[in-house]
Amino acid sequence: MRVGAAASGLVAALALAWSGAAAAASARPPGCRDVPAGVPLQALLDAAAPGSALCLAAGEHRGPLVVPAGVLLWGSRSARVVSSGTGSTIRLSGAGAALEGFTVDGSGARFEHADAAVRIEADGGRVEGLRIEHALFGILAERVKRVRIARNEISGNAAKALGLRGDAIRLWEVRGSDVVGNRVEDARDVVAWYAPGNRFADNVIARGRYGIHFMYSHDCHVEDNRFDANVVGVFVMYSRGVVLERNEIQRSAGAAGMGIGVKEAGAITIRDNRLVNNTVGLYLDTSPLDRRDHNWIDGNLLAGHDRAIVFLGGAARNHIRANTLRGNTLQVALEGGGDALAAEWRGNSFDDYRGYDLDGDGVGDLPYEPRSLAAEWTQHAPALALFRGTPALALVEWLGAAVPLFRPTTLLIDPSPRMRSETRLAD
Amino acid sequence: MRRILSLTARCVLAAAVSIATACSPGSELTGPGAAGGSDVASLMKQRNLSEADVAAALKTYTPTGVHDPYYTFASGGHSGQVIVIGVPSMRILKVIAVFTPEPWQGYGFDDATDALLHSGDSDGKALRWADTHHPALSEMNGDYDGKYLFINDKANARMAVINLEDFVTTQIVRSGLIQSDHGGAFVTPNTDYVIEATQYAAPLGGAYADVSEYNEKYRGAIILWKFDREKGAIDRARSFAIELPPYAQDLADAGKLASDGYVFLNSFDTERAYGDTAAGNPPLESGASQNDMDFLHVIDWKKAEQLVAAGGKTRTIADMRVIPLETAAAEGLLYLVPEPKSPHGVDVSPDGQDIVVSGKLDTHATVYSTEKIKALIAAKKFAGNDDYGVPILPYEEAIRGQVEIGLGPLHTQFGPDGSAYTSVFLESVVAKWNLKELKLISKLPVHYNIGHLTAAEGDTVSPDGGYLIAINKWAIDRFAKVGPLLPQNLQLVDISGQEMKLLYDMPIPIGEPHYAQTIKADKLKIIDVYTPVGTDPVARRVDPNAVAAGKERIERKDDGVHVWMTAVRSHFTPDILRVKEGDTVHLHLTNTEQAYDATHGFAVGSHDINLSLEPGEHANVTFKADRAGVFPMYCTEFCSALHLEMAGYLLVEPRGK
Repeated sequence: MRVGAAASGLVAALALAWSGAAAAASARPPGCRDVPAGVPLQALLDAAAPGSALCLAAGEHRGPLVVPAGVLLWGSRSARVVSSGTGSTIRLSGAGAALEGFTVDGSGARFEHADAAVRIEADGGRVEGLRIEHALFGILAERVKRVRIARNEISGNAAKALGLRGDAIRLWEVRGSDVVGNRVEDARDVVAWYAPGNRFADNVIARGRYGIHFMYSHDCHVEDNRFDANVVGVFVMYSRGVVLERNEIQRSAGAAGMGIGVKEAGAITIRDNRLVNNTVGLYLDTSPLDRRDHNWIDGNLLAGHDRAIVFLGGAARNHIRANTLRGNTLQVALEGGGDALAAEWRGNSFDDYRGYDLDGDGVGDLPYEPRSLAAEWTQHAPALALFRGTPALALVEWLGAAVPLFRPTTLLIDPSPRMRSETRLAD
Repeated sequence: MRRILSLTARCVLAAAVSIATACSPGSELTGPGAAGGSDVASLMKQRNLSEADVAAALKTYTPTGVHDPYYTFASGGHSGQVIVIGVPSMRILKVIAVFTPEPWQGYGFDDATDALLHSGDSDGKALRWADTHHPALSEMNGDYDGKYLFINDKANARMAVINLEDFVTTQIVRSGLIQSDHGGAFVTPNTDYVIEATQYAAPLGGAYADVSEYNEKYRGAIILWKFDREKGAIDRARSFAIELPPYAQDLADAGKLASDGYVFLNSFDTERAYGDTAAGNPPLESGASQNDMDFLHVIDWKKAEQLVAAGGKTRTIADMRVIPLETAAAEGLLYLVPEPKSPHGVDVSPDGQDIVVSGKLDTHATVYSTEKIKALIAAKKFAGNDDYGVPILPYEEAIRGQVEIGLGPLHTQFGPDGSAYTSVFLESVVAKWNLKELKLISKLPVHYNIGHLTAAEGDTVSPDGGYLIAINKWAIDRFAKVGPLLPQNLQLVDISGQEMKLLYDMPIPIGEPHYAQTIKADKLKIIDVYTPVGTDPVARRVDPNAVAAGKERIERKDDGVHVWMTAVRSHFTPDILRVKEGDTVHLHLTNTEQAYDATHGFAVGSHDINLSLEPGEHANVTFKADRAGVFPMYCTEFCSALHLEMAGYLLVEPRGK
């Protein structure tokens, strides 16, 4: 795979920014009751009035714990709530229960029970600034509204195969909630299923399977997150109205690797994201599905992919504008043949554009109009893709244009390609 | 690739010398000698075909008179039928009538097939459709033997037996124990049993309980229908069932070789969600997606068979002997193993050592080890019990590993070289992977939303390779438009080489062809005509009322008028039927011919009478001549040059004359 120099530079910049995302410690709540290590904690929790707080001293506190309504459990990172070895470690059973700051060490190991470090089981629960390690699942929220999962650090078990790890964060039947500023590493998935109207922002999710997997989760906002080295960055399936903005998604590698996947989903906005060095950058499978929907794909950078944009099942009602495609082995591919003429292509910048800009307005004077000949041949013989950009295949493409025997078909037409990227790539 | 490059080089050269030279990928196929008006090259040009297209055409085109080396038996979905397809030509060879009337074959119109259809009725309520899902070819020692085919009806929990001597349905059974099924039909390696397991739990035997009593009163079950190979029929009296938790059991597969004696059955709603959104519950689809794992059921059917034979431990529900759930758990007949995220396919490898489970919402297929499962059971090493007391084996200790396949793997078939082929729904691809190394080899895009797939003998102990058919749920843009209801798309794939190659798209506008099996054609021993003359294909013997030539007659008896009639090109004998208004007419009709393909039809207008009589076949039909008048009767098959003349009259004389 050839990677453009610009793309390589970007990866370096991302790597630098990455290391700066450390969670700040939570401040000790005023008027909280101190709980030394080793004191039976559940009795104190049961007795705590709504609005009160318990502050865990450094050292080991034994789980499992159930936190009732309106009670805050606080601790520094050196306060550790340790799993008994079975079941979930802390349950937020009452409305507005909250956890802040401490470390949760472990959970049971039963997948069939979804043993987790923390379960949020009531509305308005808050889990902030925790460090979660050695747990099967991280934070599960089920059938709740207005919860906040923020600034937590969740580490999965890197020694296990991906499929044998649990999810870091899992929302099921959750609404109106925030998942922000978390740092997730080496877990399996972050999942939002049947969870509409939630916000995922400023998270860092690395080395997992699905960065975030949306299913029947409409109107979610996904902003300013960073995804690194997951199998799939963001997968949006059977969901409408999801907005993905300013995310950085890189190194989604492997056979199923993709930066953003959209499956039978409509009214999706994908704006100002940077997708770099994924196997496939953006995968659009039968999307938008509903004839009344349109997808808006604007201002993204797609660099260093085997295939930058892949369509399956047609391209209609996708508006692809002002994106920058650089250093991709194939810019656009259609699985199952055909063309992407039905999409609206406007003002995109393609590094294989061979036109010119005599009037100097920054817009190419000829349309960007790649032919499918080489693409078709490379589909039949993928190894040919290696020769893309070489004189041999250029000659074939030229012949395709010159000698109609080859009958190349037009893949897409961008009538106003930009000459330069003019995106944040140049920052 | 080298071939294409060398072709490219030649084309470039040719173009440089003379732009006019015919030069396209097709010239590789016909050779330089064909340049002067090369047909293939010009055809390719005309039809805009690539070299790969032409190669695909050459691999599927089957000239007149040449037969396909494989039969594929595909379920006909809602049609309640089975579609027989020749592979690789993808020509439809037959539509076997099973659960629904089929006029051309006279299926459901004569007395025997009418009774056959009604044998699957629900408490006297005639069922006009079926949701046929999984055809299962009969097996000996884990290999298809080409003798019988079974198929289930998910909607009404029925099972049918088809005889492959003549592709005719001979039996339909319905237990009444369960209200829907999905885990069927699957057969044990010697076809001792045909498996049918519940899909949606309900009180067993058709009892009533409110859905709020789901956990307590609703149950699944697996029925083991005893198949009597000699009789070619399911023996109800020797069949039995095992009660199961209400977990929405899904697909099943019988163990073989290393895992012979077990049935593996998965499930998808171990949350036991049942919807009821009006009561504030999440819809079923959401409720069933709450947990991370469901349960693979491991069932020791040989032990269950012994327990049933010993007697005393079963309850009888809806005339079926049922092993209660607590007995199944206590006696070591049933174990559960966690399986990932909404599993769908469970497929036993050719050697029986591996059980491949795929989750619709997973990216991996999980490969369970027969050896490990057996060892855990022997050591009684359980992670705990479920709410019904069924032991749960520890997940990670029961698996050999996982293979990363792609988004939404479903079903797996096998090749002869250790390859496995898995349908990947969300990605719309077929993934080829190495079973031993658990390594993905390659993927082939298919169109679109692939469900099941069938490789040649790909679920037996000795897969054949060669061809695979992707059974795609959606067609979208693959065919000329036909309005909002589109055909399904069966895509033929060449799996003979290292790389999979798409060969052919076949639209199926007959129900949803849900699953299919593919068998070597030479395994089938198919009859040409019914011998001896007078055979009833359902009973598979000469009918007591079979009519020999010269013995035709009309007799009035206590129960009405009996007509013993023959059909031969090109006349019926007798050809004039005189009856009286209000008579019950018993028509006994034999096609006395033994000439291959000399089928006669028999129709009487306005009486819904329509028979198909293949050579040597006998049929009886009983009807009431309740309207006076003159009704032409005629042959509905173009049997000879004098076919139109193969006619007569039913004369119904007015009463009181």
